[in-house]
Amino acid sequence: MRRYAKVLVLAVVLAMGAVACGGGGGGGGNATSSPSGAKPQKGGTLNIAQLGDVTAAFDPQKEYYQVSFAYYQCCLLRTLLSYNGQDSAHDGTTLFPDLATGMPEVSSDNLTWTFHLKQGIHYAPPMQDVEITAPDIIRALYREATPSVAAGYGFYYNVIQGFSDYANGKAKTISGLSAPDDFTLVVKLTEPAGDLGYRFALPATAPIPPSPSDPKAVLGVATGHDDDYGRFLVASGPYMFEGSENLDFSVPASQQKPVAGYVPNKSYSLVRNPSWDPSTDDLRPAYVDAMQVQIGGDESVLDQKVEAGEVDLVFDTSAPEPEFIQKFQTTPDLKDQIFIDPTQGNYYATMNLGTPPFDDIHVRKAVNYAIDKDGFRRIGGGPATAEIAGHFVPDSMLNNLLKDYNPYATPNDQGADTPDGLNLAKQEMAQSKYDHNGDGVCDDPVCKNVLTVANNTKTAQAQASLIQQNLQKIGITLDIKSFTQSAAYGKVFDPKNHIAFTTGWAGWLKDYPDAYTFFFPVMYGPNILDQYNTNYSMVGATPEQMKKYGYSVTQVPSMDAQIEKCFPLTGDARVQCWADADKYLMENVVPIIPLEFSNNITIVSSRITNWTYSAYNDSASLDYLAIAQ
Amino acid sequence: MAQTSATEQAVQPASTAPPGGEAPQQIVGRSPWDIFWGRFRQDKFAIGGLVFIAFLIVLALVAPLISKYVVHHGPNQLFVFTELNEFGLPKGPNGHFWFGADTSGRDLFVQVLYGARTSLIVAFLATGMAMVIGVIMGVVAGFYRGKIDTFVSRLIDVVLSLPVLLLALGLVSACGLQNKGCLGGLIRPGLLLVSMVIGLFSWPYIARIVRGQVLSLREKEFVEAARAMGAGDGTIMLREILPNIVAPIIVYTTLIIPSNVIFEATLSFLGIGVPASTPSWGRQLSDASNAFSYAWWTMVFPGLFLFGTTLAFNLVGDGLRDAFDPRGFVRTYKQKEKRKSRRKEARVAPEAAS
Repeated sequence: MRRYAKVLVLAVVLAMGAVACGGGGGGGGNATSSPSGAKPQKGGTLNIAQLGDVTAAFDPQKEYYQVSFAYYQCCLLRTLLSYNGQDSAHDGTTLFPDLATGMPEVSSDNLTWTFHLKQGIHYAPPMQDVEITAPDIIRALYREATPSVAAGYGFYYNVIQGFSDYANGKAKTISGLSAPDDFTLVVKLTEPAGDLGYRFALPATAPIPPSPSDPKAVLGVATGHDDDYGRFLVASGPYMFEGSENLDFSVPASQQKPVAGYVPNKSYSLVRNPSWDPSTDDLRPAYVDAMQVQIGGDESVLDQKVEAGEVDLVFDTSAPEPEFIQKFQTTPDLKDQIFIDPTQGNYYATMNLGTPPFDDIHVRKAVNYAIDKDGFRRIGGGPATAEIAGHFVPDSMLNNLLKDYNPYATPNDQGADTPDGLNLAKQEMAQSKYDHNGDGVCDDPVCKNVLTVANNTKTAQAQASLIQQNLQKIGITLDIKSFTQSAAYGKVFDPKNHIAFTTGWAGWLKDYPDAYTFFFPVMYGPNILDQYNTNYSMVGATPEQMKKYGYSVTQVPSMDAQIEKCFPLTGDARVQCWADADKYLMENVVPIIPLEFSNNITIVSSRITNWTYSAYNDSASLDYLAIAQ
Repeated sequence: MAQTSATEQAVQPASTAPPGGEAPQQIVGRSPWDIFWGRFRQDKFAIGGLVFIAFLIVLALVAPLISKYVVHHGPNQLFVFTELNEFGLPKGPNGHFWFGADTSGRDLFVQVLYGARTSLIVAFLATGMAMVIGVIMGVVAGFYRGKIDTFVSRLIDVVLSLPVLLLALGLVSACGLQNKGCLGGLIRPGLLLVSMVIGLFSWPYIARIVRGQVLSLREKEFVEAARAMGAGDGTIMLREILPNIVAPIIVYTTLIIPSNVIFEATLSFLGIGVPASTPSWGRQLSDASNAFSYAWWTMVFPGLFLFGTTLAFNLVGDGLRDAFDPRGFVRTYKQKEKRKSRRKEARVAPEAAS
């Protein structure tokens, strides 16, 4: 080929490439701001986009995921107790009766809880003639305990008498559950549990109707659907999957056809449940007539669609891309279409108490001083995305008792990137046994090449580099191994891997609005597991456990006593107890570096009105959103 | 470009003497190097490419000096507060960051300079490896023929038909991501592994060309003559054959450099190339792919450098090929016979020189 032609072709190809990759410009059409204070209008279909499907195909005993929890609470399932779908200023984290007539009665020894059910509430089609009764709740808990179902959070119900025996095959019934009549449920416990009410607001306790062909079947309509009950779900909330009326439970499970309105990994279509009676439900207004959910796509493409109005909102665990956060926050027309609300979730970096140098509390405190939390947050998108965290449990869960508690504060929370912050870190490190000459910089070989796991997304990599830079200043060098999110979790889930450090990609989101859901899975010694262990720091591990997992360090700090003290308490006393536990954690155990209390950022299309944020679910309340007609 | 016949090569056009004037000038015979350089020099694009490559090599060599004395920071240092705005988005080219910041707040200018080092090191290492292996295999196969040739030719076929990217992905994933590497630490993550992988996939191109050349060269009379004088196989390969295939080796080696540069960039783009702490244009482009709409500089600068480097090597390679022999190296059998005698004359010069 002629030389000139070759140069020209290459230039043209490059130019075409640049144009192709340039991407379309934003729409930014006529954004009509939703008039605040105007009554929301009923009707219309919500267009929702999700990046991925839910994790267990909508099986209520298996799902342990924020997105499915949202659909259950707002729309599909009612439980004995539930939430009002609003933010914390409007009692969004308070329990209210839903299927129950009122709050449960608790015996004086705190071991017997009695619920009374509302009468005349019926299931969605095809069971519209069947009334919801107490045995239906018991049926759900039996399914939760059934080993072949492999439920997501069975451990919350071990406190019910006979539950774990049934789950282990040692008993034929769960002795702690009984229904003296169709509208009374009596729950007997093995020990007091002040937060039991919350556990009966979880979707696993939503009623399961009896099977029409076999009324004695223990699992009711879920019989034969150990792996796919979600596709045969009988709803009780204001919405149901489209086509539910065609579910046929009179034939054997293998011959039943799954509901048409749920196509796994592709789409959901939710329509109004004709059996739902608004006069029995003051927790859910249910303005829209239907919801169309499309699964799949790229975050930035979906954000563009929201801006253009093709999609009403992206409903997933992700945040909009920083460029869209910037655009919506700085463009006058778009300012009222972006909503930033606090979640009850955090992000933190972890240190393994069993791997040197983190077996020394002074090193752990020094690291807390050294990390540049503001920089970490900026890389992730800046102040819009989170509050800087000074302790473990999000403030709203502790009634703001620890709002100003930041024991390792540095100027601007910039850690070792400021001279004062670096000094604080060095002073702490100088007291450690691994700083042999007391100059504030670790000089022991254990501080070199500390085994670290990081997430491999670009943001997480940059955040890991920042932390690496910070820790280098106090003599700790990190040996960073990067993986995808799920692979990274896989590494830290196994205590035998001896992962010493994680760089802030791991976080925790409450299961229900009580700090038990933070401390129990993450900081409680007896809950350390061989697999899927979420106590990455090994807090409270016994010497036997440490030896079992191959650690040479066998004595690690514990806070089991501080945690167990709170189990039976209720009300303000319980919250104060958790706040004390958080302080104990930060001053005496120091297994983590708290980084962020994250915000939820959602952008919506211009036709959405009545934005409401669910403090229970840390996301939009789909049953409150309305469409401007 | 018009073809020149072989006889023209040896003779410079004599200057026309004025009628009845001075004696005609001496006709000076040109050495092959003169011939080659004369032709190469006339190819403006190739010279341009050469200049760019030289410039790039200089840049790559002085990158650490620039980093230390001119900008005072390395390629991996994060400047989160000065170079990212409050939404975490990078700032563009300005007084102290000449190419702007990348999406993590690093100096893109220093990243691009160090990326040049990576690309050149990998390209030269990988290509060097490919050249050495390819020449050895090609010479041995072409010289001995028979079973050895069959074996080597089939090996070439197999390597050429391997799904290169998939295998590279697998090899680097298996050995490149754990610290302990593979084969008891023999294959460790880093520039060396990537270079080895690339070199292992590109030697067949050289080997094939060399083999073809050697096949025809071994029939030459000078080879017979050398054998008659008692030279062994090794001596013949080394002293008779090798010097005569230097030209195609140089040309084709140069021509596979750009594809090796792109190969390294591709591996890094996919996240399986050089480690994250080693800057690479490919990874810079990968980081920039989402950011292009609000940070054009993150894609433009690494992209321009990668494009320029590839183009420059291609132009130089083309120029070399045209300069060594404008008719190219591919011969049909008939042409071979026709040019046998002419080539005998042309080959006498380098032989006399060796």
